[in-house]
Amino acid sequence: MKPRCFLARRLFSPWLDDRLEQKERGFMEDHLAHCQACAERLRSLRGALDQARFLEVVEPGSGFEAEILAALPPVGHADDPARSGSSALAFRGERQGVRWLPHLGLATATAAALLVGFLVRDFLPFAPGPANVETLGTDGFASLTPTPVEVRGSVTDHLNRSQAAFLQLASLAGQAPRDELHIIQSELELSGLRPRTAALRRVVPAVEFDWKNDVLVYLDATKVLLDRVERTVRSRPVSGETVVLVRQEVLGSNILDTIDALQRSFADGPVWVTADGKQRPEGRWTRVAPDDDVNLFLEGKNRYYAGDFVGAAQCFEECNRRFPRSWLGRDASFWQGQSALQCGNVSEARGAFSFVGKATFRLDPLGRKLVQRNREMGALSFEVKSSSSDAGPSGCMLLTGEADCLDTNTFVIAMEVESNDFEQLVEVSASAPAAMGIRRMADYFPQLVEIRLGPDAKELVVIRRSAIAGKNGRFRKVAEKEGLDIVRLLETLSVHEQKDEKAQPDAGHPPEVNPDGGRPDDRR
Amino acid sequence: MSAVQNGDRESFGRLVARHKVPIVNFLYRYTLDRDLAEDLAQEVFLRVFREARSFDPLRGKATTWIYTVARNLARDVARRKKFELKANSAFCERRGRLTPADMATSLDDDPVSALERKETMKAVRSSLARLPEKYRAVFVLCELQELSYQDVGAVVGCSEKTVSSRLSRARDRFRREMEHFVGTRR
Repeated sequence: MKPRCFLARRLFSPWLDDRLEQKERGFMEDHLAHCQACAERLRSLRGALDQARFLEVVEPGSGFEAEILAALPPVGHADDPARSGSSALAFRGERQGVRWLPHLGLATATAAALLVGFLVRDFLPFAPGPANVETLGTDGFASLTPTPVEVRGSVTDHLNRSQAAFLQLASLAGQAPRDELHIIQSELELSGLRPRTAALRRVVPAVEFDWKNDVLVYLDATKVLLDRVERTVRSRPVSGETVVLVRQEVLGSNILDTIDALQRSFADGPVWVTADGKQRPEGRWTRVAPDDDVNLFLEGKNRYYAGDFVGAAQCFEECNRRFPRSWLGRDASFWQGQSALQCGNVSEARGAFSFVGKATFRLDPLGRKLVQRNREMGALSFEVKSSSSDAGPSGCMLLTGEADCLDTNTFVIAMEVESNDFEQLVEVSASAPAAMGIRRMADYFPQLVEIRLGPDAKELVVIRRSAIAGKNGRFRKVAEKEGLDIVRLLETLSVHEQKDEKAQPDAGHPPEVNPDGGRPDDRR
Repeated sequence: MSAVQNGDRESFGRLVARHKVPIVNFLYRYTLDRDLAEDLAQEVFLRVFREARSFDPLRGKATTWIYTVARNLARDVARRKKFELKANSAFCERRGRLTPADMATSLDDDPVSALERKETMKAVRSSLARLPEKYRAVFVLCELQELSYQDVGAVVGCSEKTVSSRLSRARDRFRREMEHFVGTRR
């Protein structure tokens, strides 16, 4: 795809909405008059959008309004706006309010008390605790009244029946990343906690544990976490939801020691430790049936982030071996490769990464990443394509490895990409900043301003902001000197790159990494 | 809206009557489930009533605020039903079945048009279902509900520029999905 086509296609949408400026409109008219491919594509887009309007218009049923009016709270009720002064719904896409949030604090205190009681192995009579979230009022914080909870028997009576459960809770309290609810949920399921929830329910009778409705057990209580928990829990029907917050500080400053002690005392349950507190990849993991590919994959990722790379590699390998046609096959291979690398098993990593076709790898100077050495990575583009932009595309993680071997001004990500795949990449980079690969790329190169297709349509060229926009940016100077607008400027860029390539016949390949780990020569 | 904020139920009834069709249709296009859309719409209006006092006219229009409530609710439900949604659409594709919506709209057409219409709607639904949530929201709000960029920005909580960018990507994805569905892939 030519640079002009690329630019034109980015302007399709505002063109359709008549939101282009005069200069852009002129460019589009001129381009569409001469480029058959873009004109055809625009027609295709128009056709698709026209078809979208085929979607039927739904008329609400006849009793729609009556049902709503019948469901309104009675006059004078807490939910009646005439009475209520609360402000619970936010504007501008913000999430709803925090009407039961104070009770999370109560839940926190209760759960923390439970754990403390457990740690000191004392027979604590249970104090008034949290109310079930279902019972909370909605008329603001001031009117909330804790509901006393009656607990029969001693805490440890119950704890003895659910040691593993509390062990798991304690381990999560110390180790869990603070914003990965779903992962914790998955961990709890994978750890076999589920059968023990009945015991937990006896311990904390005010809290409903119901695995049928996506019970959420969550720990720690930072502000960020509270917000996240609130959003997540409120995103589901309140009934059957449970949030257990355990303040880490209650457990002592050195949670690892606490966990160790717990682990020694009750070694009958798994404790997965995230040794480095590493941010886990984003994901939308949901509960799955046992012993299937998803479960194996999740367990592998859990093990990976728990530092059990050998176990993780085994899980991913088993996932691919037992479920060779799984939709997770590529991801499992990728993670198997990553796990093997962490173990230092380069040969296994090479095998696992074989799905990227003819690419060859070598370790980067730190010995922890594979640096892609070959531009023929057609399969990788497919990988990116098949990944959710929200889930951290594994393809982009491979790009991270490549970034290490690039020079400081311009680097060429050498891989075969189709135009669609390229757009997908750009899309990922622009729309999913949380995607791991791009985020890491941004960490490495915060000056990145643009990722675009190279002149031969087979390279992704990443140009630093300073190269274009900086005061002394060479392309800015060129633009000023020649009086170019941005479209022309991009064309100029490609001309320069072509010149560079002529000057260096091998410019399309990533620069070599010096064997001693030094930075490659700056081609600029 | 100010009357609703004071608990005026009659005004609330008028507000429901005025907004029910766009909200139900937005939710239908967002969730692709007619029954669910109606249920959600009822919940939306109940929330609007309950939380009416939190509406601040200085921060935006009532319509936008209601859409915001609807979108948040729909997104939450869509997250829970993500896989079901995909499975259902795949199921429909495999079996080529008429959904109730297809049947309802095909009654008035001649058989050929009905079939074409059915196929088109199936393609549209399938393509919509495949759009990531943030793109689907913007696409539905802009393209199908015909809200302005500014209003959509208020609903989804981002700038007009972001709306424009997301809409562009959403449209392109939608086009690709439609092409894929009808087998005219490049």
